[in-house]
Amino acid sequence: MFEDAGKYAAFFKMGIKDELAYVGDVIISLILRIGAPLVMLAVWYAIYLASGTATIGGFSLSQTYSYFFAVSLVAVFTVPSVLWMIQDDIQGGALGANLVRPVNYVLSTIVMDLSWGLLQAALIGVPMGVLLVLLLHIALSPMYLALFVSELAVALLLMYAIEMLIAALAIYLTYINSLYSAIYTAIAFISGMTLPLNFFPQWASGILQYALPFQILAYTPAATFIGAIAVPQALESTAVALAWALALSLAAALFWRHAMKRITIAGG
Amino acid sequence: MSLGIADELRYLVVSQYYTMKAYLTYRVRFLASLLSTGVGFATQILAITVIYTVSSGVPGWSYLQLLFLSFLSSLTFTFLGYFNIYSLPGMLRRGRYDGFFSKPVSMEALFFSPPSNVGMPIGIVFSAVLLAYVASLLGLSWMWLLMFLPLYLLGLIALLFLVTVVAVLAYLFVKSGNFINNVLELLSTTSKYPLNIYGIFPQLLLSILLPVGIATYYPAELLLGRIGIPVYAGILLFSAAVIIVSRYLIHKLMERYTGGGG
Repeated sequence: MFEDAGKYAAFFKMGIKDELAYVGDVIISLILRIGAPLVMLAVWYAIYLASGTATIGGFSLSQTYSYFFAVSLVAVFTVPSVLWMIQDDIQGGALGANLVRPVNYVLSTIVMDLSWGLLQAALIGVPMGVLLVLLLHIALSPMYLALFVSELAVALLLMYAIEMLIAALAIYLTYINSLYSAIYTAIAFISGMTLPLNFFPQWASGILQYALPFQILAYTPAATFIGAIAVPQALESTAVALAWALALSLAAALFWRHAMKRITIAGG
Repeated sequence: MSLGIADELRYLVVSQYYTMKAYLTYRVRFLASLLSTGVGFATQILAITVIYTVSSGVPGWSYLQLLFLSFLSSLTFTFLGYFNIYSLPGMLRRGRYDGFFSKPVSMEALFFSPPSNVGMPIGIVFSAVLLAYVASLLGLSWMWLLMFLPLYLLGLIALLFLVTVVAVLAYLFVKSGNFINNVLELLSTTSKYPLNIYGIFPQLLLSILLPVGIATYYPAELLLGRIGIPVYAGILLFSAAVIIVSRYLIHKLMERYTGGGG
């Protein structure tokens, strides 16, 4: 057991080294993430000004600003790239060599990916969160902070489940960029990354918040972070997302088991 | 000895033809690209619809006008994405062009011809069709359209050259170009809305230093009849200058290329 932990720790270190190979690129990419909420800030400032109303969809202008910054913060914690690692392994032919290693391929890939995610969360996410609290005057109580952290954990679990399901498809299709792009674009919209879910018509907002899990990837944690959601409502949405995440994780595990039986490695 | 422009273009078209042919061998991949593009446009339309449902919208722009600008921006960035310029630093680093530099083809033709993002033509067709549909709803005249095409095409080529300069700089200084995708994504989001809402300084920045406006905002303004002839001529000249300076910079910077791979 402990011997295995040592092996996965090596994957953990390798993941960080891999990502830091081109550190200039990584730093520029991270800085650019701040740009997206700035664009939305300008757009919504113009819209609020033209509309002449104090609130839109129950959000004041300052809440809308804070919301888009909070969405960027959530994305720092919840966007894995395990899918691309697996697709590269399948397309480049490294999958065969990786499968014969004395470790679980799927788990080792997730650990490698998680290492960079955790480093990014520590180096970017935490300072960014503190800055947002200070600059946007967010009163983040311990209760809301705990809720926010647990929502991020559920969001990460859900994203891994979705990515592993699509990654398993790569074994059959080889190339999954477009499929992922279609799924992620739809998820970005219905999770509240593009617009807060309370801007949607009531019937759509109800479905997206309480029946589907994707709100946990943007709307629910962002609204929790800025204190724009009641605790029971946040708990209900998180519970729905957790149930979905567990079901999708199980489906991904079963799908991988099936896909592994279909693999044919060519070459020598 | 180098080829003439007609031969260079033929080289580009033939290389794209074979890439496309190889791509279409996998029909599922083609269908996935179709799905991806469709979903992208559907969410774009829905987002603008929601904005105009909950508010009076972006000041000075009707629902249809903003849709038009948004589709024009999509067309521009789908075109830029087609050439996969972000992969150029990695390809230079690995020496993928070393065997090609001795061929009688210009550096631009080489950089714009390798394995492209072949799912993108679907996006280009989608954008163009939606753009034409919204233009017909807006009742835009043919005369404006004739003036629009040279302005837009020149702006588009100028942006392509400029992004290539950034990619060569990325190769020289950070050896990787993944961030170029993030830059394009950010510029794509920015240019889906009128540049004047960002304030005077960002508008100048997005018109001159990162001139995304020359292939999005200003051509849209022209079609909506908000740009006069002097400004039109000025933008045309500016786009041409961007192409000339960028081309010079690409060649000058590539003098520092020392070969890669192993």
